[in-house]
Amino acid sequence: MDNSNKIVPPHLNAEVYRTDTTGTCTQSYLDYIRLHSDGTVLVGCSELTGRYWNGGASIFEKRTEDNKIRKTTKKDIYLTSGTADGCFVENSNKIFLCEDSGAVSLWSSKEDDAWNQWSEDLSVAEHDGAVLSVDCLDPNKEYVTAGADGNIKVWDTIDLICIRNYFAAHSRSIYGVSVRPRSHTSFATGSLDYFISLWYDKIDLPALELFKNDCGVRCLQWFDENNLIFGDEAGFISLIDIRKPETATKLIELPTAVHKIVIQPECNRLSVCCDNKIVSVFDISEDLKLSLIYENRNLHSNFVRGLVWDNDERNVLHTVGWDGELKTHRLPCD
Amino acid sequence: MAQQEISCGLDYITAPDLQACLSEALHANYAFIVSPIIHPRFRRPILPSGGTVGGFTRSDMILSPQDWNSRIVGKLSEYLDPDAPSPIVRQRHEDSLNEELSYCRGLGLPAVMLSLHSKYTNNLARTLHTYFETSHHPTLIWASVPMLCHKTLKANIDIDNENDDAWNEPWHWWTKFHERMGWDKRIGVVIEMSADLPSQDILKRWLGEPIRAIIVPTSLFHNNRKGYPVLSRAHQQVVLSMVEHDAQVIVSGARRSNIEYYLQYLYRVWKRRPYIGDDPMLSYAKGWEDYLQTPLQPLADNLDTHTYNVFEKDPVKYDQYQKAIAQALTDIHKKRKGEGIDDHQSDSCIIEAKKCEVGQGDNTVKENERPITVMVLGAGRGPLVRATLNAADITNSKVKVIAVEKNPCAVVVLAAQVREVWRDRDVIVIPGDMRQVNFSPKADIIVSELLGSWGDNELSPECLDGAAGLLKSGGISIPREYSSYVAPISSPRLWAAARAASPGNSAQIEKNLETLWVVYMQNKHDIAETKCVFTFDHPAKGMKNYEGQDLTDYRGLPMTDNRRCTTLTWEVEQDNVMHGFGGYFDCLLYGKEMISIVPSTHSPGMISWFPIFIPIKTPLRVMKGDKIKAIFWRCVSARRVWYEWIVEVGVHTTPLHNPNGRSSEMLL
Repeated sequence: MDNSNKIVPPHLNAEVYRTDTTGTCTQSYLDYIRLHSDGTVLVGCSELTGRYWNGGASIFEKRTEDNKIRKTTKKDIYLTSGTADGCFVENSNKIFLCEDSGAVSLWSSKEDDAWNQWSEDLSVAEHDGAVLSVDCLDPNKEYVTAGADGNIKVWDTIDLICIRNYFAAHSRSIYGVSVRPRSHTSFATGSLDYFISLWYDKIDLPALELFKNDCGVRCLQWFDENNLIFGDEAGFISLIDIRKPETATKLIELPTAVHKIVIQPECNRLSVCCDNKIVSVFDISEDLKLSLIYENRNLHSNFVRGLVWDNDERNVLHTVGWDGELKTHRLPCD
Repeated sequence: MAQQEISCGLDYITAPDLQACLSEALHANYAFIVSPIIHPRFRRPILPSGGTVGGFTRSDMILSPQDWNSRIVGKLSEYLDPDAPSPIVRQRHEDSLNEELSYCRGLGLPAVMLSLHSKYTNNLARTLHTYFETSHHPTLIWASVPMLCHKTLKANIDIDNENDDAWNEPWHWWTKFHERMGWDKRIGVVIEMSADLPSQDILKRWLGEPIRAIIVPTSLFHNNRKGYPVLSRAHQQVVLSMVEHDAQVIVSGARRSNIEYYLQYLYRVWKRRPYIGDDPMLSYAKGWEDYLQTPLQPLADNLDTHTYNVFEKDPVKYDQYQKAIAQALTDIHKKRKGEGIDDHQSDSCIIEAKKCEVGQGDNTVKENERPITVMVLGAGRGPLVRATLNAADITNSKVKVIAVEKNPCAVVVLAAQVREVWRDRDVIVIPGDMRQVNFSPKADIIVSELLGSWGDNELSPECLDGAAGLLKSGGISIPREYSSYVAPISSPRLWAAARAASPGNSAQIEKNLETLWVVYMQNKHDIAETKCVFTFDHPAKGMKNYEGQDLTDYRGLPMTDNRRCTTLTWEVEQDNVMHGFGGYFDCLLYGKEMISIVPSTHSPGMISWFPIFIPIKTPLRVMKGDKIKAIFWRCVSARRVWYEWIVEVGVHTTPLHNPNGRSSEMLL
């Protein structure tokens, strides 16, 4: 390393650090990845340990020739706080972002803009805690978000107005929300208060308390209209048949807390990432049992946070992690 | 200590730029900010051997040490769940919790905030005990709870009017946790205000807890016509009552308006809070709230001049005495008139008389001109002598005042006043203990002020019975009757303060919890109403022997029995934790002139007595419908007096407190 020509008196070390913000561009932790059907990729990232806990998002084209995604280093959107989830709205030129500040925002880029710049259309801060999860109720119209404040909000994305507020839906952070297949009003939420609840458009009461777990619920997704899969803090992936509420079947135990699960419905496959570096894929059998068909322990060098199945090639899975890397996994052909 | 100013903090969901957030809040005049110390979404592997992630949060050098230890309340990560039923989660989260706590310890924060979500907090409490054991920085722990448990509310939605559970639930979370922390005074509670508000009973119970802060979510504000955020009247009231009990205010949630407006509004609410009036007690007691003192022992010790000076300042007490003396003088006149001139045994001359013109046995002297002898027992620096002379002037009576005082210093002061101020009045000073002075003529009226905060606890009964020989038969004692009172109270703060009052080994702690403490109680909640314990009358009736004859002592005075035993019961109307009793007294001076420090009848403006706090060694959890049974004994031996007490709730009973006066006693 070069010598510096700036001599800092050693006793002013702390004061200089406090005011010298030139070296603060550090690694970003990639938190999630979403893929639009036209091949556009959305990657959200946050800074979680540095001087500024801000965030951002990158939007770019998937390379079609080898189905690999090359992440551009440039961020297209800069946020003043981190982002835990986000999604495309309407088309690949418009996105919805959840922010750690409690805000949700809509961003778009003009197709004819040569610079492909993204600008914020609308931003609304109504959650009283970080917004942790978003899912689509009615494409291009209604989106549901859940937050660390225990509230669930349904948004009209035309004007970004909260049209339904499920106040104090849970008593602790809601980590996951998943809209029930073939429904425009019904969704399930999983929370650190151990509960998994099913909701309709009635905001006072859950339609059904599906299950009370023995630890916090980290993520959940519907397998079909009646079966819901969730992962928890203890590392279990479990299944709830909502026709038999208050019971859950433990499907598999993983070494640490399950962070995210993504089901590939047409192939009955479940990809999983935990609070570790491992990416696993399970096959879901007819009788709803899991069997491991793929595991990768070394592509990522820090926690894996986001997963998405490729929409062109069904054996391809893209993952992002806190190592700042976007990786593509090619599963063995079945 | 009740605050003069409202102190507000601003909660940041995450503080993305901590420096900027802090200066933004300080510029808007907030006193502190609440911020997570580690990013709430940053999970990391933690192994028992130590963390494997080195830089798990930002450098503490971004703020100056002064900012860290005065401006930042650190929030522990919300996901931490060290009491999860799942053993593996419990263990992992305990490890993460320890890592966060030890980092906070390094920062030297004024307070660390965590939230309680259920009544299962054993492992959390255990971890915090270890933290306290190993931390030398006076960091406080703030445990935040919602005011309302929505889960319980939803579960009970079908049951009408059964909402109490939903309001009780978070209180149970808090007190169970506080109990597990040994009612440690370094632990305080932070209450998150809800849109709906509970009944007054529930609010009052909260006010008995050590509330450090009240969280006011921005969602509770609505915009007034000019577009500024305001709270409903009911919410304002709750905020005010909490702030009056030392709570700070934390504004939290989405920024629905300019953050400055919230603060300005809260300042305004505080400024224009209802005017309480010039209650001398409030200004007098400022600074003494919840501060424990050992009761005075004026009999065993001589008071110093400053103590006299403080007590003489009472604007109400001596006024009441003066009225009572005036009434007594009037009654004696009436009685004498009614009896006619039948005074056969005229007052003989006084032994140590300075002036002998009084009552020279002339039967023809008009009754009203014969002076009434008023004896002031324990005259101190003379306020009651002055009251007596005033009463005589008001009722146009002739009095002879005899001031008895045992404290040589006070006797000097009295003698000087007799010489200089009262030289043309009939005032005599007799140095000595009222129990031993023998003197004639006997008094028509004896006046004394020997009461303690719990009535008889400064040995007024023993003193007055010992001085019974100084009073004519049929004479008047002012005071005529007094009673002590107690109410079971909940007050973790007083209990913890009593336990730690004089630090020492466990034996000393036990003594502290078997002692009566004089304290201006602020942070407490009455579990049930105030009830009468012991009553004493003067002049006291003597005991009779088994043959029914009056018993007398060697001086021929009636033998009295000042031992007492009283059993009291209360029905509990609300779940609570009992930490002891609040103790008070009232006193009938004469006629209908009373003085009282019983809350419901407190003499307005009287400042001479703070109540007492009688702790119990093990706080008792009481549930709605339970019966509290308490037995108090007043025990007397040749040289001392002491109290013993015991409390029973259902199957639980405390040990007997202060057996044989081992921890606290009053010397005769």
